[in-house]
Amino acid sequence: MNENTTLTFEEKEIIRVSILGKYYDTVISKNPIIVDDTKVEANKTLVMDNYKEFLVLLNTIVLKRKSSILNKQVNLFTTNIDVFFEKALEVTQLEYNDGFYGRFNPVFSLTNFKKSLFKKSLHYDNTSEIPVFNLLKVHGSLTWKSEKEKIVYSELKEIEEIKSKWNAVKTKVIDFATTDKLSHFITEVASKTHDTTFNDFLVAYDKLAVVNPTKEKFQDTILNLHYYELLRVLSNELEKENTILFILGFSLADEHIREIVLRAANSNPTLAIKVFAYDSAAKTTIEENVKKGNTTIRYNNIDFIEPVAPENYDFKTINANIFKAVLDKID
Amino acid sequence: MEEEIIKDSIFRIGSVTSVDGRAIRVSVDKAKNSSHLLYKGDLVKNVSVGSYIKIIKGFTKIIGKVEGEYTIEDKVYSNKEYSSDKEKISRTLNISLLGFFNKKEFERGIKEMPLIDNECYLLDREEFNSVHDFIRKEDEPLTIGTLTLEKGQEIQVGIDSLFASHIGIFGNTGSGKSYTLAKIYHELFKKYKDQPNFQANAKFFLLDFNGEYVNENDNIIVEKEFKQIYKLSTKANGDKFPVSTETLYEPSFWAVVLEATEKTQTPFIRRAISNSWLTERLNSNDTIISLIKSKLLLAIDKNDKELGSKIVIEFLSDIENCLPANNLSEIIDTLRENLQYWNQGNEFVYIIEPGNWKFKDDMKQYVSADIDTLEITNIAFNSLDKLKLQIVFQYYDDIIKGHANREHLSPLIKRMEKRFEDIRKVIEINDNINNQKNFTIVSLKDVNIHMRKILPLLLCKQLYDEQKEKNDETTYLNIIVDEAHNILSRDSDRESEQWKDYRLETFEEIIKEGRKFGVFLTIASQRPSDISSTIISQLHNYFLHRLINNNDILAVEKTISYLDKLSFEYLPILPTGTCILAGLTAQVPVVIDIGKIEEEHEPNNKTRSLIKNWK
Repeated sequence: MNENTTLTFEEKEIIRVSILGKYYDTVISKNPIIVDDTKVEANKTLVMDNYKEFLVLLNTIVLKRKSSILNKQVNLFTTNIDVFFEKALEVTQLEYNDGFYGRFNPVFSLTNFKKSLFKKSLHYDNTSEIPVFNLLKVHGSLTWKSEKEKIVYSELKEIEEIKSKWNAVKTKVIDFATTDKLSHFITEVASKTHDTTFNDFLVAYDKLAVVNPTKEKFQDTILNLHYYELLRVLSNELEKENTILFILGFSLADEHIREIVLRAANSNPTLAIKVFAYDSAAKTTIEENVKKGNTTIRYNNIDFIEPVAPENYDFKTINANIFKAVLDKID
Repeated sequence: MEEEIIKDSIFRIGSVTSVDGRAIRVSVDKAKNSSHLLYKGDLVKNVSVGSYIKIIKGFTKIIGKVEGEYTIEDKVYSNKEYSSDKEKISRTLNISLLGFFNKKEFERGIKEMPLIDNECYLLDREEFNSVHDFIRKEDEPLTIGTLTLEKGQEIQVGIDSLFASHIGIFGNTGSGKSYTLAKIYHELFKKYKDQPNFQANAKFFLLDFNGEYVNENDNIIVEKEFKQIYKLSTKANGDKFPVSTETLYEPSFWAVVLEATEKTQTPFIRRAISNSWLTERLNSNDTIISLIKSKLLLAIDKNDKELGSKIVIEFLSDIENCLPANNLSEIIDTLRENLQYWNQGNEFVYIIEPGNWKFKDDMKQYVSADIDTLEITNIAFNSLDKLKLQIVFQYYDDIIKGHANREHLSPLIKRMEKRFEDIRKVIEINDNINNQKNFTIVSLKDVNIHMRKILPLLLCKQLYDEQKEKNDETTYLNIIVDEAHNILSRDSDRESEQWKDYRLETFEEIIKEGRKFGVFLTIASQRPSDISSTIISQLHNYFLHRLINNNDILAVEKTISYLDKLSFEYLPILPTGTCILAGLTAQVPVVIDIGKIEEEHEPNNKTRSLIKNWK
């Protein structure tokens, strides 16, 4: 936003509600459908299948790596706040860890990550480690709810609450369908009137513990202990020897994550990073994003992988062309 | 600086714990028990048996090869409740020393021994390449495959150091010998086939016993237009290989072909072939006829009871067999009826009709008249026929004159018929062999067993002698023999000692002296134990594929000094298409996967799929 423009508190609130409302509409509101098995949607099934395929492939690869000196944990770092991963993990019945502990009032804590699971065989009591996914949602999750300085488990009930509050203000805020530029945004604000329902929406919305696409994003991540801690885990994992990071559907435009990744790449020559680009144009964009970082790449350990035209690397083709291929090679 | 430290910490794998003569032991750091490491986006193989390590003693970098490893479970760590899996295993490596780095270049041999506690490192890409860089400064590289133990690492050999040497390719059937052979020559031709000097100076001669290098489109190893292919056959009409008259008039060769006995038959052959008086007279029809007449009359003149009239008939029949087209059979019929040996008078008699007998000079006149009716159709018959005729004339000359015992020589003459027939099918006499092409392939697939033994020898000897005579610095000849046990075998019960000696001597001479004349041998065989050890031990470079038979392995072990213990133990377990390269061209013996040849240039030696044919 233009620094020279002075906006009143009310005007700022209108803009904030408009942005969060839009975010709610496009990202948050549909999540209950993901979990609800009674609602069948072609799109949902497609996406869910990709997630399931991805998890099953990784699980099999890790399971087949018979090495007692390496653990069988896979860390999934995601900036997505949706619940596709959780649902897919549940459906595929794979072991995972999303940082919550407890049944009645599950509480989130970083110490709950990195637990190994062992299983004994039925006949000889031989123990063997089973693969575990650590699901680290660095921008928070819709399964998170802040309550008295703690993050507790949310069953997505808040989304319903926000819905009613949002419906009440929906018509009173700026419509993104007609306005996309910031300057328009500011002129548009003047035509809207502020009232108390706006605050109601914000109060309901703030119960969500997610990083919002607003300017405070970076303050959130740094100030908020949990986001910060999760990024620290990312950083720590990347510092370990012989680590490989696959980057899917992420263009490294998020500068706080990019900096962590690049810093790790530059200090750890035993780290390998494989970035999958959607197409060759996307590859150029990603490479430019990487160049924006302050450091240069010293160890040649970042690989930008673009698909062979006319194919595009969407989730499905990456699964089939990369992870499935790896597994086929193992077999 | 910082990077050096990081690199050292990644590449350090342990330290020397004992130095016992040439055997070095290294204890591996517990953090380095995984199979691979990542470094700068590359996958680096961690230490394992067969890999190389670098031992640093002050400023000296000593390179060793891991020959064995064993592990001790660390009891202290195992029994602890709180432990990391990495810490439970202590690995110890047995190292044998190979060489050292001198000014960034790898050198074979050891000048200094490591000390206890010297640090050991993995080789980085550059050092690794330098250990496997077999190209001498003035040499040119040829890529033949990749390292088996290090995926993606290409192996190049120097063209000079490989092709100016005798090469041996050994391995069981189906282990990829022919493919390797095809690969190295395919690569060489790919690089040089268009060079005018190469075309003028280099000759390659491939003996193909099983027809693996010829097919319908004949593009195996190199495109058709660069090759001269002879598909020889003793059955149907095949190609004929050109042979010079000079080679043909080599008595010792014929002694071998006809399996002549040393005492009597060999001197006879020598006499027959080097009889230039005879040779001259065989050049025109008239002289032949007069020769026949004079021999016949001589036989009659002798009036030998032992020989009788039979000799006349036999003589003429044998002559008949040697001449291409004639009316001798009529003359024989007439003579058989009319010319008799009269036992009472101990002389020949010509019976014109019952009661009308002619003796002495009268008889001779009648015989001469009969011979005079002989007409030899004026076809210039070839040197082979001439040679055969020459032997026949010599034989009867010897017998009639009593120089030789008939019983001693007649088996030779009987054998001659069949041998000549075979040889005639596969060779032609051509004194101006003007072969422009570099590569000659001779397929012996359709040649009978006897000729398979004789032909390679005849051809190789001719080529060798030619090259020897030239004796210049520029020309080059490479004789390639696939399935070499067919002709280089040391013991064979079927053949005579004399033949064997001659055969081996010829090839041993090539292998011992060939280098001076620019003649080199490439032999491929599945039975190294069968091949004369003189030949095996004289080879300079070896491609060793899987060998299973103990005798073969022992033969390789005994004669190949380039092979270390570990490579040697690999021999029975090598997969198809993988071989050990050892010898002059390689500083260290390496296990390599032979690279692919484009399908059209592949030899046709595919293993058969039974299921495909049965369904």
